[in-house]
Amino acid sequence: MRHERGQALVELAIFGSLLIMLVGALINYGLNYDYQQQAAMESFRKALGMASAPLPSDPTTPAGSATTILIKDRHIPNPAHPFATGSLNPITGSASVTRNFALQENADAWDWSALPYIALQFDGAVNGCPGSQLSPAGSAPPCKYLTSGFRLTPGVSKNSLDRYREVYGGGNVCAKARCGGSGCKVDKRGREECDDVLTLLIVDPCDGEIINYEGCIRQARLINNPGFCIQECEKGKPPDSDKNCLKVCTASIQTPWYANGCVAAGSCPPLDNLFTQNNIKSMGVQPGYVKEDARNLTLQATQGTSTTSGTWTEKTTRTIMTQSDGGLVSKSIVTEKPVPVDGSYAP
Amino acid sequence: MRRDGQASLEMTLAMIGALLLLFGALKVFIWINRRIVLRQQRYEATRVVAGSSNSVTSWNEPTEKLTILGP
Repeated sequence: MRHERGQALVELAIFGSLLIMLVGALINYGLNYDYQQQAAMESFRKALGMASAPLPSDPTTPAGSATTILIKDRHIPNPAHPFATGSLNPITGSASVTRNFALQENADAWDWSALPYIALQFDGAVNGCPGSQLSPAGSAPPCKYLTSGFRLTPGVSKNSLDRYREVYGGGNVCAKARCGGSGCKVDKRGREECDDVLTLLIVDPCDGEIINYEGCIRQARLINNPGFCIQECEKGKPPDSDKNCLKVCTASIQTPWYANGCVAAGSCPPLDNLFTQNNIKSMGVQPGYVKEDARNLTLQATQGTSTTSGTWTEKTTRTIMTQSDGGLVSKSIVTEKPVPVDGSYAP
Repeated sequence: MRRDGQASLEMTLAMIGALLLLFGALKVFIWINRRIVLRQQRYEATRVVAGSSNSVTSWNEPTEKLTILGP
């Protein structure tokens, strides 16, 4: 009986700590979920604002579409991290908005600011954006990265026009003077009349700063493989269409840099060099990040009470991968979040 | 014989603790629920303005504090 004296105390210690840990895990999960939802709402609001704001090149025209990714580092108490005041959790939200008036709209010739982009919003960026075509180095976030690029393609035969439209999408290929190309005109009845040789201005989603591996492999296959082009053309054809997919897909087409020797995923040297060899799954902000603690604290203890003063900040360094002239560009962005040292909670 | 009322005493003390915990959790639940509703209300109320050319992209998060004692 002497040995059973402290049993209740030991049980309370074990099960009590488990219970407190469970409550802590619930609070952690709940806060995380709440912040995620808030980030999703905020990123949608930002995308809506950007899509409604006028274009930098034309103050009378709204941008029409925008995509945003919001990244915030927030303090969330964590039961697995007893000194949790300084632990930061990355919270991410993303949204894409296209206003209905912009569904059929295309970028005007060489107006880079009107091309589709992804806006990366960071809280507390120390040195501003790392630099891109739309956001110069040091500018305040959002940091905008193009997801398409312009390409001028001269010497295109009239017979190949439909092939280009099939590969890049009808709205992304222009052979008219008013949108940067040449060789085609629209007559009074609305019919298109083209010269034998055209110059096309192409908006290519595989020529942007952030490109998608699977999407570009598909596009390269449409360019290099007429059989695949016919198959996709037949799939996308309306039932009553008289489009001749065989004729469309066997017309000649120029090969852009990413389609050189590209057969399929894993056998596509230009895109494999960019993605697989550099071991990245997607461009933009990479999943890994480096955290750095900077503390300069003083603990002052007098009889019965103690106060802490000084500064405590957490720096997070993230890598942003982009494409430029067929090569990979890696840049860093550093964000800073102060940790309150007076014991208050600041998410 | 002095142990006659021990079970009742322990039960009473444990019940006070358990009920406090239960009602505290209920209070937190009501607070969070109310906060979510208020946030959504404010978010929806500013939506049309955010989509106009004079876009306002922020909305105010509810600042209602959690009070364990009182209404």
